Amino acid sequence: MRVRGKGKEHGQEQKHKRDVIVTTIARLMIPFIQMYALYVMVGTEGAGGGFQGGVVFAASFVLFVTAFGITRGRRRLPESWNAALSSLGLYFYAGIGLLCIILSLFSAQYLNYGALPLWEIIGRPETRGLMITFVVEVGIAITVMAVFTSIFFDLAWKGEEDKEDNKEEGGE
Amino acid sequence: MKALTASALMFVILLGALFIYVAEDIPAFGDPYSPANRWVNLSIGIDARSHVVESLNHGVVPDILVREIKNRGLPLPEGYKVERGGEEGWKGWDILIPKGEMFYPNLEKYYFIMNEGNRLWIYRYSVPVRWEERCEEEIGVPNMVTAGLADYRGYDTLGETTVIFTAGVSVILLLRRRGKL
Amino acid sequence: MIIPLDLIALFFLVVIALAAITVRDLLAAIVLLSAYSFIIATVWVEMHAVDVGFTEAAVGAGATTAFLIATLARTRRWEKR
Repeated sequence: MRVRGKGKEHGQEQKHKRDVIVTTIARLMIPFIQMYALYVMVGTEGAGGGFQGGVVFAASFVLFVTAFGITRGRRRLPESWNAALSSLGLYFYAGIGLLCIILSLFSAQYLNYGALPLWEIIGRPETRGLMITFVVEVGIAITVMAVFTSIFFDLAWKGEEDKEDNKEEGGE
Repeated sequence: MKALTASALMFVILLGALFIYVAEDIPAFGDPYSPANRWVNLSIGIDARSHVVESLNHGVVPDILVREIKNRGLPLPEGYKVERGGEEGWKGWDILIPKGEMFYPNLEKYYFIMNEGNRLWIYRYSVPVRWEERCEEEIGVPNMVTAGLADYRGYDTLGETTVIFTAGVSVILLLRRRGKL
Repeated sequence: MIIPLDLIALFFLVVIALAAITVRDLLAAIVLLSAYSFIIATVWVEMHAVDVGFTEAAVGAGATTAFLIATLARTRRWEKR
């Protein structure tokens, strides 16, 4: 059962067929770009931290969109996920700060990771290092990745969306 | 009111309350007694005998002072430049890190000696100096830039991430005229 | 930290910036800006500022160029006379 108004658009879709070379290369490179982004994000030895990792992760989505088209990109990362992720990262960061106060029974200041109860087990410097590497940096990276991807989707979305809108309004 | 909007509203209120609390928690900027700016008084009281003051004026750190600092396990100011200095009301001598030392391109105040009631009090000063020395032992992160960004200046990075988040939300609001947020 | 190399690169940056302003084809201007951020990233890394260089490379060459090209799809390609 063909959905009304979709057939013509599919015909249009075939006009500029996806280039095989671009899609295969993109399919090969995207996992490695994302792996590199994770390495940059979590590895605090070398240069780069949460922000750079998030941007590189967003770059892999940009490559996905340029290779496979915006509609598949939107299906891969829907808007609801995008909005949720961009606030989730910030809650990781702010939440861990708040957790330091609550879990240390209001004896530590905000964002003082040394005061988490974990410090009896592995010591204060290690807890700070652990919290920074895995909670703070990952939180920043998630926010930055989601924000950059949502900006790119909004900028690149104009073509298809307005056509469908006009068609739907026209159709009803 | 969709479920997402309700939860988003609740989260925003929570984050707002958090920020108001945090704003109270941050010491006033430029407040000399906030942890970051306060200089640490080593409470070494040396009676300001003439020869000690004399050698300070000549720009040489007296050995009695060096010995005191050594048994406190702090870096030794031997052979560093000594200058008459200090803000108004805090007249004294600054022992400065020599120019061109690996990490300090310009002069950083290392110790600060003040003569109060003919006793010499020594103060440790300058935040980057403290960062540089205490970073390895205080934060388990090997990269000092990350340590500075995430822990010493954690508030700033939190604010910066909020700025990025607001930028994203504002772009969403501006560019989407479809009404479906 | 080779001073002459920095000077040459920075001079080259000024040339790129002027070209990016004067050229009429907007796509060429975007590509010039991308080249600009690539060179400034190399200069920063060469000056031992690896974090800043990395950020500039990731944001300048990666994200900003993609945003500009996506925006170009919405506007006209050639600048009005």
